[in-house]
Amino acid sequence: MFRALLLEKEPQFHASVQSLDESRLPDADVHVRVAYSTLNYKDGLAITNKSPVVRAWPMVAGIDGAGTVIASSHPHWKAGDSFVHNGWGVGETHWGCLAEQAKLKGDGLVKLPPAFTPRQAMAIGTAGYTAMLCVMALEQQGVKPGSGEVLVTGATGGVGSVAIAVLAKLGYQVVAATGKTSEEAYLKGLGAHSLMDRAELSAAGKPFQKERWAGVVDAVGSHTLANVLAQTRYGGAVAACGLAQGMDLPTTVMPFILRNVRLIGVDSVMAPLALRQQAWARLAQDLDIASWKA
Amino acid sequence: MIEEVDLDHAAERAQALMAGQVRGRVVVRI
Repeated sequence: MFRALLLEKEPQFHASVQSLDESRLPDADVHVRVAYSTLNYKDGLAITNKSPVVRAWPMVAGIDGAGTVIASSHPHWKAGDSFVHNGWGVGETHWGCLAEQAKLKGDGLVKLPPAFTPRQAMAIGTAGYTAMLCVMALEQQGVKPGSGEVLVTGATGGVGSVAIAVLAKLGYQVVAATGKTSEEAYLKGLGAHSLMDRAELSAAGKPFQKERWAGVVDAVGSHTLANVLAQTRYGGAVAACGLAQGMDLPTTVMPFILRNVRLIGVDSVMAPLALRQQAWARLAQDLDIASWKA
Repeated sequence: MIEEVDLDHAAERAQALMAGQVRGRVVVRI
């Protein structure tokens, strides 16, 4: 038997911790013991049933997990190996990691970097791993330390906080856009050079604005993303990974055709394994976990 | 900014997260 946070739809939605028989675990080639999971925004949506995140019932919640392999028929995994897991539909269509045990696909698991404990890996979670994918996307577009100011929107969020910490450690001059100006000390502690009130970005703006940003990590979408595109310098790049303000994008082609601005979409859920491995290796190298207080 | 809860309190903290009452990251000790 193992304990798990089970989401049930009938007779009405209900989330509760239950003891389940191991025979109920779904088929997958790596059987794991989860040490830590986390609560991402998507987990919140699933556990409170506020959005149709869960697409198979009943469902064990938890899109992220870290722990140790119990048994494996996958050639790259053996009992005792430490793993970290993000996404792949786990906690949505396949039983997840808010549970003492899970069965996961070995092709999607990443070796836990020695730099991190399972708890630290889950403090980083999908949010932090997505932030690293965004930083790597900017690098691939030629945005370098010294290129100019780099903006991080949604700065106090999971993506934003890790993006600031990593970019600052790499030597970028980071501006943090937030609605929580009371968090100035926290954001500057992460490495932000200065703060920007998110209200300056959240309303409809002109399609072409004064050039400022060499690069942007945006977890907000909607008017905020449209405005940062309009403010991005010639040849700059914007990595978009979220929709905290909205899923719309009320922009024009002007930044793209007159300033050669690149808009890079970043998905973490179905990202290929090699990219995940690279992102976690980069987090181990470029995120100062001690100062991030995980 | 890292809050730790156990599995028995995960659903309760998820409710708080959706209500905007959680500051920073939540890790769940299994």
